Amino acid sequence: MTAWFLEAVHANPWGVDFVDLPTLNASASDAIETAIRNVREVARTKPAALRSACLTVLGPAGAGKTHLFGRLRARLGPRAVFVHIRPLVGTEMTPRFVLHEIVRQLGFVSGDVRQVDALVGSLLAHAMGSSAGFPRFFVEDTAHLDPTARAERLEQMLSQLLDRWQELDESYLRRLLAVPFQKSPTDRAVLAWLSGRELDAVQLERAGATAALGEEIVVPALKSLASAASVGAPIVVVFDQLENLIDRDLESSRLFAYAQLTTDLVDAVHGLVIVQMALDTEWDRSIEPSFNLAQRSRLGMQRHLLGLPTPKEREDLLRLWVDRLPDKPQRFPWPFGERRLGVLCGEAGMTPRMLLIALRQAVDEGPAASEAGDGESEPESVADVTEEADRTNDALGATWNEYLANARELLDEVADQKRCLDPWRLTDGILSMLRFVPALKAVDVRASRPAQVRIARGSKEVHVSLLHQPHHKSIGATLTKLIEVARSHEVVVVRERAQEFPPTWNDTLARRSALLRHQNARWLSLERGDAARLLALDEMLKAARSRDVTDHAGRTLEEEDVSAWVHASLDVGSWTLSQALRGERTVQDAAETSGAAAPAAVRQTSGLVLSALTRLRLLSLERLVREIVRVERSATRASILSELASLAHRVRWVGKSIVYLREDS
Amino acid sequence: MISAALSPTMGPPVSTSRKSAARKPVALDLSEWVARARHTLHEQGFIKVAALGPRPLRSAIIGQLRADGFEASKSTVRRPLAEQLRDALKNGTFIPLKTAHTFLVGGTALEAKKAALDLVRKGQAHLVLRTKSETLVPPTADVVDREEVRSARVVLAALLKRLQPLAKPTSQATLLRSDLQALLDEVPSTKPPHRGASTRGIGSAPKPAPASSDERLRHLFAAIEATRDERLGLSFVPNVVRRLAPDMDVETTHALLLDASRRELLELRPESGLGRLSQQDLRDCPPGPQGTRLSWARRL
Repeated sequence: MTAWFLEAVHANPWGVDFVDLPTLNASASDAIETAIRNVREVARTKPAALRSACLTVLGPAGAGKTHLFGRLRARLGPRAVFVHIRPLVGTEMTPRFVLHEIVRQLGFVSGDVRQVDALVGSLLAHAMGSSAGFPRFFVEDTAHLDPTARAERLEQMLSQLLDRWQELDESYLRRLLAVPFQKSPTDRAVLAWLSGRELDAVQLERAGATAALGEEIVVPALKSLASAASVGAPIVVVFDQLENLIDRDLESSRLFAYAQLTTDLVDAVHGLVIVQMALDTEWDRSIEPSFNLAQRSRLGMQRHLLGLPTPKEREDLLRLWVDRLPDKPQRFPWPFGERRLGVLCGEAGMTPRMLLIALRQAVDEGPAASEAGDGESEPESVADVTEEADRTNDALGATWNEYLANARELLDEVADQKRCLDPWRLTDGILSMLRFVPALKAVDVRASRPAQVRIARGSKEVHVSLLHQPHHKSIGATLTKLIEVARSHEVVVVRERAQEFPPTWNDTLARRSALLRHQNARWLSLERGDAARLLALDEMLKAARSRDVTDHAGRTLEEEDVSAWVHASLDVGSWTLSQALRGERTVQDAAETSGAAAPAAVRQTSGLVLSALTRLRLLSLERLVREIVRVERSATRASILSELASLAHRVRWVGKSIVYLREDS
Repeated sequence: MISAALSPTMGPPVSTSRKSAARKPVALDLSEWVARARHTLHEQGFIKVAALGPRPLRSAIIGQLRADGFEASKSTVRRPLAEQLRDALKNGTFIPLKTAHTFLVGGTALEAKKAALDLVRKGQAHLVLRTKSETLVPPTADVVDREEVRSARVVLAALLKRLQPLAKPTSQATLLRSDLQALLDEVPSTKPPHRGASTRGIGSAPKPAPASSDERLRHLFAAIEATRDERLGLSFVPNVVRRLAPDMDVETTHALLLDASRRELLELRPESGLGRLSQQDLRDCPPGPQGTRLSWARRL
């Protein structure tokens, strides 16, 4: 007998189903709602006086900070646009990153409506003098108009906005307002362009642009987006888990950079509602003290300390959850007995998360077990301690697998969009990995450099380039810069295997070969599994910092405990990227050089085809072609097919596109 | 009998629907005006002179109110500021001198400061330095006398001088923890009278343990108030325990905290900091659910 929310011990800001006790910490959610209302009101009545609001919500782990985001989404629906941002650890957050996140999340569904539809629909509603409560109706109504009438209506709405705020970026807004009325591949391309992401040639064509959004457009774009939205569905940007910005090991100014970013947003971008969320004690011990006075005055406008549920609220919360359980044999207080319920409602320091964990345990173990003990018992013997440690390790293993599954899901989503992972995600992953590789130490990270991450290995410095660009021109430009870097420093270039260069990109491939001719340069094709591990490790460590990782009994684990488990269980040092950065030969190198070392007589493609098949076992023909061409530029699809034909006794085909090596070969 | 126009601030039974009606004189005698003023003073703590009644009667009304023990300034009559301050301090509140007027009614910042310093002079309150702000605390608060402050300054200055060589950027030396402790022990009366470090202040003499549970609770709340982080609005439980250490042992303080939490008089919150609790802190925090430690308290 399970219910989805029993597994969701950590709030999912974008969860569809939602169980909420509205009275719990109502003052904090009311304050945010009031701020949203005020922004909308001022935007409509006194546009010149429009400003951004900033609120801070603090509370212990499990008190319901992230839950507030879900509550507001459920309560306000399409009357606001919600953006949830977890801070970057490795890279400084910039206005471009914020713009990227806002526009990316415009594509998310909230209250049954895609947020970009809610934004445009509420603007249409306001322009037509109606309530902004039903934006989808106005979007559908406009979509049914003939193209000329629709364009006229959108133009009219645009000119109303420009009358209100003359400094808005007209061309950016024009593209934004048209998104809900464009067909699927085009609207995705336009949203990607609006987010400031670099596009490949096909996407650029779809978006009707010739280049990505320039750096000089980013802040005007943010201003335009925030001001325009404020009239209908104001944008609420929630920075969650800010305690992750605290860095006790590295000398860094991440907190200061974050404060500067949000201060700039408050000052320069009007119409945003910014909500900062962090652990209460860390905010005052480490976060706020690192801000200067100007930053404090802007970011400390309003502060709300989340309270823990009162005994009455605890009972109401448990009742609410139990009511949602399917097939319950008895009524509430089942699965608790009266005594256990009394303990849960009366015990000091009980957070909503703890209550949920207690409920989950009671459902799993049954009311008798729940009534017999308080769900907690100290291990008494050495055997108990060992068993306890084993169960904790199992729980951590399960948590790791969850993060790994999430990372794979993200990688699949990104691969579907035919693009690489956002470099800042990979950067955070690499920095997390470095914590477990004593031989390597992060020196600094700068997104604007061709090699974004500098790593110290003993007295040497390794420059790591995350080659994430989708467009061959920007890749070419970066490779040229990397050739310069490789003259004086060791360079490791990382490109995801899933986004390898097509064989037709002759210029790019030539530049890569030129780079790899330098002894200092090394190429690493990041396999899906390696990328997933980096992402999962980063997410897990961030969760541990926010006290969101628990053991088998639901007890919060210290960050050090999680780190110790990673150290003992994941063997981070043997990860391919870690080996490559330490200058060791990787499995990939071995496979590739075995092909390269083949005798010249058989070198053409035969050795390479066999080597690739031995290494990868089963792959598509397209992938095989890419693999071979990457190593041997003169190889062609035809020559590879002919080679495969000559190896007919050793290979098998699935249809015409999948090839694999026979087991007995 | 005197006829006079009644000020709307007094809330008299006049019609406000028309201006002419508002100006209509209402006949009240002196005793009624005084009674009204006493009522307002009882309710609000102050009344504006302009709202006392008709101009010709005001000095007589003020005279009677003064005789009752109220204070009159040029523009207001109020409960004496000293009395208001004493009441505020009775609840265990610490009053920053700069913002003392916000704890009072009917007085300016200057008057509030003067009244506060008068209380200190009369020994009815102590003035202490907390971080950078001068703060008025109850006379029962455990404070260090001026002579002890002077001797502590001398010892600390000497101690700083001995630590100076370690501050040089070129120095890689540090101290043995035991040596540092030994140096700190030279500061007069820092050793707590009972077990555990005390934050009560230098040289405080242990007080007899509070007898009744109400009295103990009052002490607990005073300690919570005294150790409250102004910005965070929470009190760190180990500081509360140490502050009460001379009067109560850790177990008693924990029992009191948990009892107050059960009675919903305060909220105990689990530690969610990044592993910042020392071993001593862990011992000073009562255990919470699911292996947590309750390290923060907040009055409800």
